Amino acid sequence: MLKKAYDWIDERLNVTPLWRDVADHEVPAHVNPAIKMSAFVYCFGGLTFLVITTQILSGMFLAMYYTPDITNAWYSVRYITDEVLLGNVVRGMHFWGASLVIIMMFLHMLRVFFTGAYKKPREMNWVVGVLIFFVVLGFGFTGYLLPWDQKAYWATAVGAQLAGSIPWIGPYIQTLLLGSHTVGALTLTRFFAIHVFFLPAALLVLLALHFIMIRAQHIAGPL
Amino acid sequence: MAAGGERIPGTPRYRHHHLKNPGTEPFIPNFLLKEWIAGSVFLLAFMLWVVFNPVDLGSKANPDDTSFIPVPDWYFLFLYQLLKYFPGDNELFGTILVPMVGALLLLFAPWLDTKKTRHPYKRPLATAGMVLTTFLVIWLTNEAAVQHAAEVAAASGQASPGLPVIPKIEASQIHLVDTSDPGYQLFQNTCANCHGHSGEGGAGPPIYAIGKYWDAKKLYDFIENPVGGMPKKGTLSSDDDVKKVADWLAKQKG
Amino acid sequence: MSDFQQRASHDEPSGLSRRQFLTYALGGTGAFMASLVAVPFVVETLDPIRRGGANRFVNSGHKVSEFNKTLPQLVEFRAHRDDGWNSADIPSRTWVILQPDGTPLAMSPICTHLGCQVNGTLGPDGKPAPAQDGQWWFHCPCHGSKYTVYGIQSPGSPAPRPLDVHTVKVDEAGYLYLGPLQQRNSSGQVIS
Repeated sequence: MLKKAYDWIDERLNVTPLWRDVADHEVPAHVNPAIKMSAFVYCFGGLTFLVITTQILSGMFLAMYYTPDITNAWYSVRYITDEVLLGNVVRGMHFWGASLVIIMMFLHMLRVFFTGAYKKPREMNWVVGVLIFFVVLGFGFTGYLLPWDQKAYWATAVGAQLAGSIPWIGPYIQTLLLGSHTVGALTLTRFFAIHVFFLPAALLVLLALHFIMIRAQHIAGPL
Repeated sequence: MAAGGERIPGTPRYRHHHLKNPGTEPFIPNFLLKEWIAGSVFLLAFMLWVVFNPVDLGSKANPDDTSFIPVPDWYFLFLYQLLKYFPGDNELFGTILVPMVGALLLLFAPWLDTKKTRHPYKRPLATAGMVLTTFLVIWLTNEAAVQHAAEVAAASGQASPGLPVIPKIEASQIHLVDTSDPGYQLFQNTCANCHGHSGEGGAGPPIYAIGKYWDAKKLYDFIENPVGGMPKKGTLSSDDDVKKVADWLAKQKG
Repeated sequence: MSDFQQRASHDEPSGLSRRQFLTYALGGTGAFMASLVAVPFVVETLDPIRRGGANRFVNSGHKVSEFNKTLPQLVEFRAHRDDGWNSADIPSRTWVILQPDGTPLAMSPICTHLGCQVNGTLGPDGKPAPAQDGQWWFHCPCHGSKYTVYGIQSPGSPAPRPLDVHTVKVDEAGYLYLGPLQQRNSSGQVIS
C-alpha cells in the first residue's frame, strides 16, 4: 500500500535519485565515533540541529498560549508556567534549549575552526555558518524580552542604550530597534515579530544552504 | 556500499582498515543510527535537566523601578563586560569597534588563513588566536557574572564575598564615637547615603563597627578602590577626604 | 528497487538482513527521540480539555422564598467567567420561578432559536403579569418564539428546545446559587 503510493509519486516526480543521494552517500571513517571515539566532535553540528528543531517545536507550542502585548504577556507566561499542564516543561525546553543551542553551536564552530574545515573550497559554508550564529544571537536577544518580566525589560533597556551610544546613527538605530523611543508596547510586538517570523525565515534559508553545501562539497577529509 | 556492508554468516568479520575505503558506511541507515543514538542520549539528558530545573518567572516588568540591576542573558555577558574596559570617550571601542572587528575576523577567517594545511599545529597563528579568543570570552563572561553577583549583593545591603560581615542592627542601638571629627561630617554627606547615617546599612552593607576588622590604611585602600557596587572613593572628592573618613571609621569598633 | 534491497535478498534469503535490522533500529531511535519531546507538547496542547466550563456557582442575592409558583421573576446577577489568565464578572440575568414541587427553576433569557433576548410578560407597573393568552408567557422579539412560564416553547415556535436552565443550589440561609447552563429536551427534562 505504502509502496504503491510511493511508486505513484516516484513515477511522476522521480524522487528516488534525490533521497538515495542523501541516504546512500558514504560517510568517511574519520567522522564516525563508532570507529574512533574522538570523532564525537563531529556530532556537534548535528546535535545543534537537533536542539534547533526542538526549539522550533517548543516555540510553536508556546505560541498557542503566549500573547505579545505588554498588559497580557507576563500573565500569559505565568499562565503557561503555573496553570497549563506541563506548560512549565515546554517553557523550560525553550528556555534551556536557547542556551544549549549557543553552547553546541560554539563547540561546532571550534571543531570546524581547529580542523581547518573552512578552507577552500568550503569558505562559503563557513560564512553561512557564522551568519547562522549571528541569527541565533538575534533569537536570544529578541526572545529574552518576551516574558516581559523585570530581567527581560531591563536587559533590553541596556541593550538598546548600547545601540544608542553608537556615534551619529546610534539614536536612529535605537529607535528602529525599539519601535519607539523607550522600551514599551511597540518594542514587544516588534521583538515578537522578529523572533517568530523574520529570524526563523532567515534561519531556515541559511540552514538549507548550510546542508546543501555540505552535501555538494562533502565533509572535509581527515587531517 | 563496498565497505561496511552487512556481515554474511561464515565470512570473516570485516575489518575496515582492510578495505579500499576503510570504514566508510552509508549515511542511512548505518551512520544516521549512530548519530541518533548519540542524539537520544543527549535529548534524554536535556529533558531530565529541563524537568529538574524549572524556570521561574520574575515579577512583571516595571519601567519605574530603576533600582533593578540590569544584566543581559549570559551569552551576551562577554560583550557587556567588554564595555566596562572602555569607559567614557573610548566607549566607541567597546560598543562597536572591538565587536565589529571580532565579527569580521570570524566571518572572513577562510580568507585570512589561506594556507592549504589544515592541521591546527601547523597553523599556529590561527590556532593560538582562536584559543586566546575562546579563553578571553570565557573569562569575560565569568568576570561579568561575578561582578553582577557582587552588585546584586551590595544592592541588597549585604557585604560582597570576602569582606567583613557586620550584623544588621537597629540604628538606635549604634553608638558612633568621636562625632566631632571632620571625618564624621564627610561621612554624613557621602557614605551615609548608602550605609546609613549611623552606619546601620542601606543599599550598602552595615559598617558601624568596621574599625574592629580593618585599620585606617586598609580602609583608605578599600575606599580608593572598592569592590562590589561601591563607587570609587565612595563619591568623596579628594584623597585627603578619603583619609579623614578612613581615620574616623577606624575608630568605630562597635 | 535499490541495489541494497536486492543484494540483501540475494545474500540472506531468510531472516532479517543487517540492513533491515539497522533500518528498524533507526526507526525505533527516531520514535524514541520524537516521543521524548512530543509528550510535553501533546499534554500542553490537550490542557484545555481538562478544564471544565464556568462551573462555579454564584450567589443570586435572592432567597428562594422571594420567588413564587405562578410567575417568573427577573434576577440580575454577576456570572463569573475565567478566560485564560483573564477573569471577569459579567452582568447577567435569569428568570426564576418555583416549580410545583417548590424547587426553583432559573431560566436563561436567551432564545434557543438564534440567541435573541426573550421578554417576559410585564404589567403596566413593570412587574411580571399573567400571560395575555393564558399560556405563552415569554416572547422572543426576533422571530416570535413563545414559551410557557417554565420556558417550554410553543409547538409553532422556531425555537428548537425550551429555554436553557441554570443548575441551582440553595444554601442553609435559603439563598439561591446559580451554576452553569444546561439544555432541556422538549418535555422539559435536562439533557446535558
